Amino acid sequence: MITRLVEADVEFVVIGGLAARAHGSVRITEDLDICYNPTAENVGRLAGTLRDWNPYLRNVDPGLPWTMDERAFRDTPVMTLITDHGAIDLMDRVDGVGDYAEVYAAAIPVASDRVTFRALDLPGLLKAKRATGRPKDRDQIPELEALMQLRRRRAR
Amino acid sequence: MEPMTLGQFATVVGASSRWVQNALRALALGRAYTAERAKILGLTREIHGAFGVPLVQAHQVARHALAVWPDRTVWRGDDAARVVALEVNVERYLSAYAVRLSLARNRYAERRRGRPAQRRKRGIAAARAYGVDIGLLRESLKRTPAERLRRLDQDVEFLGTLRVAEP
Repeated sequence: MITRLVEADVEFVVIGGLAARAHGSVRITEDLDICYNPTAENVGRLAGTLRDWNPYLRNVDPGLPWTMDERAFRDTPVMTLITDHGAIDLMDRVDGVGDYAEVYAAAIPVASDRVTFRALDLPGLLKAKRATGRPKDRDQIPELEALMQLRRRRAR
Repeated sequence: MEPMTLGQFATVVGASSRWVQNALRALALGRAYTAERAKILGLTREIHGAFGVPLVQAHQVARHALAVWPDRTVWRGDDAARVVALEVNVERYLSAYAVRLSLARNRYAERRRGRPAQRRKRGIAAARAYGVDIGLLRESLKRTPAERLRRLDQDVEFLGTLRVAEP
């Protein structure tokens, strides 16, 4: 999914479990969380890319109508989707960090085998995890704090 | 699906918990936090907020409007003299409602009351006490981000094979 988003020139920052994994976490995550730039052009590119993956709202009965267009992103900027390629959560801001510009500023480039993308850095991830209050996020805080300390030691 | 909490219900309605409680009281509705009720109350709130229609009347309009779907995507109501009309894009409303319902079921977190417990330890010692395997973290840090992500792909693939193997 990340490769396709990068290839489509979508402006986004990877947040959540996958970003944590890139920074050294050993937790397994199967979904992709991204913070996207909410400009009309970027939302158009994002929606266009997602449409190819047959997206629908996660844990919602399939009978409800759902239109994924620019207006939908404006009205409901946070979406939790399931696609042919897995689950993806989209948001235009991250609690504890701020809007896209602030998330982008707190992100660093990460090189995967295929593409380079931006991922929220460890301090940013910690702020986000502390801010959400969800048990599954709170559970990850000790691991992220340990990673911060281990990285500081390695840097010395 | 599990019954919703007040906070989840308010998320689906698109309002604060306080607004929901006041509205349910004004409409003489009980405290059953169901998706169907949230659907009607969410549109009630839109009509009430956009046109200043009193809540009880807005609730009636919302019920009428939602009843036309899926046969029609737009509901239009005229006054008796056919001078004033109210139009509701039911499909567009249901689309936004579905997004909020998905959010409430996937990302909603109950607000913690009071101050969070202060942890005395932080960092490696706290993580070890919490059950984190520090050795695994050290090994992970020896790899490049690309290698870590490749491992994640392998882990997810392995999990997938386990799921397939389950009866």
